[in-house]
Amino acid sequence: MASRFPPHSEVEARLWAVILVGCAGAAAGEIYNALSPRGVFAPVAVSNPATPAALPTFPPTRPSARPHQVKTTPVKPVEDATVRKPAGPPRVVDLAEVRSLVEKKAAAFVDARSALRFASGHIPGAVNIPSTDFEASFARLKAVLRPDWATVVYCESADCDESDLVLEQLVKRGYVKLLHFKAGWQVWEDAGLPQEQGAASP
Amino acid sequence: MTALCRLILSAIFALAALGGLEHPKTFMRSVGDYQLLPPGLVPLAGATLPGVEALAALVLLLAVFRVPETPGRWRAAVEGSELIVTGLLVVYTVGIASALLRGFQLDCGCFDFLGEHLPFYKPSKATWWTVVRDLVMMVPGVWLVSRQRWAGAGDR
Repeated sequence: MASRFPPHSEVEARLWAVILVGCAGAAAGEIYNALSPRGVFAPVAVSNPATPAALPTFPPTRPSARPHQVKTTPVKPVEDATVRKPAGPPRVVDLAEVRSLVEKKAAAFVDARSALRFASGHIPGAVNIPSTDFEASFARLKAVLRPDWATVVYCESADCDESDLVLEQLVKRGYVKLLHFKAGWQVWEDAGLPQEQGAASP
Repeated sequence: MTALCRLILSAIFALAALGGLEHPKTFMRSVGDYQLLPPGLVPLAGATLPGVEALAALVLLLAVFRVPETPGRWRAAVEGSELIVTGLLVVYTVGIASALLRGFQLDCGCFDFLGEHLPFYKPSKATWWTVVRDLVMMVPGVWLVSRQRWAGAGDR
C-alpha cells in the first residue's frame, strides 16, 4: 500500500493517525520533561568526590586515631532520641533530618536499591546493599557499617519495600541505631540536593 | 460495549501516564531496569512514553462520549489510538516477560501513581501475575482492534 497524504483509505488514515498521535504524544512528553524541574532532562547537582575513596568511612575521623582533630571536626553524637529499643521498628526520618545528617556526616547511609539505580545517583557517601543481594553486599560492607552507629536506610520512594527488607536484616544482625528514610531517594532527588553518581567501590 | 472498552483502556493508560508525569525520573529508572534499551535512549523513552500514553488515553476518553461511525479523521484518530494502546500493552507484556526470563527482580513501574495516592494500593513488583494482568488488560484492546476494518473498506 503506497502511503499518500492526505490518506485515500480508511486503513491509511488509521496508520497516519497512529504516527500523528504517537509523534504528538512523544513531543508533548519531551516538552513536559524539558520544562519540568522534575523532568528526566533536568540538571542534577553531582557531588562526586574529586578522588574517589575506596569506601566511604564513618565516622570520617576516628577521635581515638586523630585526637588533634577532635576539636575542629567532631563527630556529632546521635541524640538519644534516635537510639531505640531493638524491638520497635526503626524510627522514620524526614528529608530535613536526613539532609542534616548528611551535612554533619553524623550517620552512615545505606541505599537498598539495585546496583543500576544506585549508580545512576545516590545520597553522597551512601553504600549500596541491594535487598535482592543482601548477604553478599553486607559481607563486603560490614567493615564500614558498625552496629552502634546511626545508619539511615532508604530506597526509591515511600512505596518501595527494599529499605524494609534491609532494615529487617540489619535489626537481626544487632544494629541498634537504624533510621528509616521512608520518603526515599525520590524526595531527595526532587529537592535538587547534591548526589553522587557511579557504581559502588569494590 | 465499544465505549466501555475504550473507557477501560483510557483509564488504564491515564493512570499509567500520570505516574510517569508525576515522577519522571523514577519512571525513567523503571524503564532502565528492564535493560532492553541502550542506556542513552532510556531518558528519551522515559519522557516519550507517558506523553504517548496520555494523548492516546485522552483520545479514547473523548471517543467514549462521541463514537464516530462514519470514516473520517476523528474515527481514524480513535482507531489509531486503539492500535497504540494495544501495541504498548503488547510491548510492556513482552518486556516484563523478557525481564522475568532473564531473572531480573524489578518494579513493574506500571501504576506508581496509584501507589502514591491510594494508601491501600502497593505498586507491584514485576511477576508472572503482572504478565497475566497485562494479558487481561489487552482483551478490550484486541477486541477493539479486531472490530476495525482492515480489508474491503475500499478507497474513497
